[in-house]
Amino acid sequence: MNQHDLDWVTAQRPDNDAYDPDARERALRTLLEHTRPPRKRRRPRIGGLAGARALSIAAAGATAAVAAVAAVLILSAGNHAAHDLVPTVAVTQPTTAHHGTAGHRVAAHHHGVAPSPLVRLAADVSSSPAPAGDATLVARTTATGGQNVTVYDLYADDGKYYFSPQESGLAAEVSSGHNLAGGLFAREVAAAKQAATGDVQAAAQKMADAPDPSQVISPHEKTDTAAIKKKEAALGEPLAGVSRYDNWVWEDSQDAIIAGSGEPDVRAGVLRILATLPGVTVTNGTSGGDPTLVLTAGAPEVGAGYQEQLTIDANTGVPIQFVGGPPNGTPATTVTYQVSRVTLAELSSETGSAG
Amino acid sequence: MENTYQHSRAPVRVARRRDVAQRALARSDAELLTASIRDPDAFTELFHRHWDDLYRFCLHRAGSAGEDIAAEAFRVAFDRRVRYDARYTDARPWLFGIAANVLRDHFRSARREEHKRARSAALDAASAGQSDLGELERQLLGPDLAAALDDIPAGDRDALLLLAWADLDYEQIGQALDIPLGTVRSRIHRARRRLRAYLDSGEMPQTETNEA
Repeated sequence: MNQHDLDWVTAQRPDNDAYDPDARERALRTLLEHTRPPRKRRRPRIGGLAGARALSIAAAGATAAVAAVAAVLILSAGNHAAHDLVPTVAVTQPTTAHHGTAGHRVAAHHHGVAPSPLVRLAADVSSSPAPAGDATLVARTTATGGQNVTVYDLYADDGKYYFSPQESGLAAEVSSGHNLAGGLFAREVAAAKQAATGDVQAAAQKMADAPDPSQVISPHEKTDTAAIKKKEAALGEPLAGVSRYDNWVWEDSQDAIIAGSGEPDVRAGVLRILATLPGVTVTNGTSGGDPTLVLTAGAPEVGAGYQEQLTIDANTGVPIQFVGGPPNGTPATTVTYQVSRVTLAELSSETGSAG
Repeated sequence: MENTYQHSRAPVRVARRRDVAQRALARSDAELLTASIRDPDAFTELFHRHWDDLYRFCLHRAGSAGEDIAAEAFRVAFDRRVRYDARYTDARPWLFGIAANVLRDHFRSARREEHKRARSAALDAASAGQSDLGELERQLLGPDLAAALDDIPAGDRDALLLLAWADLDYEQIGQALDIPLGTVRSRIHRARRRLRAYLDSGEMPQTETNEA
């Protein structure tokens, strides 16, 4: 296609006559003034944060009014007590720590070989009873650089979404109707539900197309598309073997299983869809003594030279942990999920007591 | 109402969430954002990493006000960092999306002032037929580009300029503007169709650049 119009617009970009190298310093100073409260106020704040973190790790179950009053059903591995709302997950993988090593290959159950463990689990999950409550609370803990940060996502079954950096803040978010959803992951969740009972391939296609239903990504699409080539050229590194279809299905499925983690049909559907991906391998692991399945994406899903793993509860399919990073190095990103079911009405009625 | 697609976990596509360039970095954007929740100083590394790109884009769009706009975008990003989903390693589209919002507010407020002045000067009739391209933005775009983009809606214009001036691809533009990929395509297609019509009309040379 003739690009002369785009070239022309690019050429109209004003010269950087106004570019001032000192602007960076000024902006940084402004930013630091914003990010660093006055010293006198900062010291007690540090103590407050440390205290809050210790509290959340040690005794959140007892103190989290949200969880306690909302008749929470803990969905993660095993029959945990309420304090397990707070992530204390230490996921271990007895076979190997890294994708692609010999040990991993031995333990791996490649989809299509015998009955997939994902399909078997999906059948179990499908037959589980409907969960209590009308919303799923996900405590999302991100660990990077030795730091843990937990924030709270609340996905209502009716599609609404609430967020709070503190669990105690969710009640106010719900009672004030501060819905942030905007259709967030609704199509991904719908595709998963379709897969639970219907045509898995058709549902997988919907999962691939969920963010943009106006386009259809073919599973047979060549991997040397112009978009990928352009990205490779820009980054100077090959995205060897990646398939756009598999990449989207893998990523969208994660969004669905997290947003719909409290709903058995969503989890079952995602598991059935993931079982169709060519590069996904499954290994057994444990988390806090409970069995897990570790799903590792292969080159078709994320390209060679990178690794993403999703750990799920081996009995319920509830997501426990996401890890991304170089295949044989320290994970760049680790996100841990603690999932529970809550009732919105009870949650919002807690506004007064939650402060 | 805020939308989480934009502020916390926008959809990224081909090999999304793992911008390969981020691998070479000691810490990815996502790691820095997460670390900055407990250690605000970590945010300064993110600032240094992206300041130049964001500052230049804001300068191109808003002239001398670009410095304040870019600085404001980083301030807003800092305040919203807690929501960022660390599975998305590259924060550049997220930052440009915030900058685009701040730019939109800037031009909107400038237009309000223009309208006030227009009313006081009884110039409503003169401005009634104009597009939503305000006078300030028109001046900043320059006469040629302003004429070319005159009747293109603001959303289409934003998408086009993120493509041509910020070097974001369609996926990243969708993430930045909080719109589905299909909408990005249609917006840019619409904008380019108008643009081509303008260029082909003979009012402007087709491939010549402005002599700055």
